Amino acid sequence: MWKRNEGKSELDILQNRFTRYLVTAVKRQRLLYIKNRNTRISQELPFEMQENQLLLMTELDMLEMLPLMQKLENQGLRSAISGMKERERYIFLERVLSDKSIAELSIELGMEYKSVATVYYRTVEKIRKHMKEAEKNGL
Amino acid sequence: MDFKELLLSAKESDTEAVSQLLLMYKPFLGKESIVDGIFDEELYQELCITLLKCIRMFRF
Repeated sequence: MWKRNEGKSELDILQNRFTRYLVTAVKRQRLLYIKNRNTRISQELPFEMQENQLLLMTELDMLEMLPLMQKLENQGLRSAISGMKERERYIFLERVLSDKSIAELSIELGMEYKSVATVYYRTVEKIRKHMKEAEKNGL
Repeated sequence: MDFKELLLSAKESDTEAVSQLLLMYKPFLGKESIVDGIFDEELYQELCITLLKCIRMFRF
């Protein structure tokens, strides 16, 4: 495991300077990459699909095709939703879009009421955090 | 070799020095290559290139 150096010796100061430089460049490159990837994905969406193509699509592709994902303009929100696990996403979207109650979902999923509630509120927090991060990074 | 010498050699394209720097920063590059919870190999390659560029452009 790497530990932070003291930042006092000349060598350490130099290394930290280089690292800061690198971190800035890497974060910028990563954002550029993500932006380009998303414009590419939305532009390549086929409206007519052969059966073979349909079979080859991964779950993630299907996600991007959701009318929902195409409507959401906030990139932070989109990436938050696509990063969620299946269970979290289902509970969150059903509650928000279909107005299902927690009780309904607990019956549907065979989970305890408390479990569903916990998953839901944790997911909301995660999204909020994710969106804040995204905004900070200037998406 | 200390970091300064490492960086200087890397700047002069000493392959051993460059690979040592790559090894040092690999965990960082790996972490930044994760998008939406998935590791993206192409992004990882691009970030390695970014490291190489930084080595070249960094001014002492």
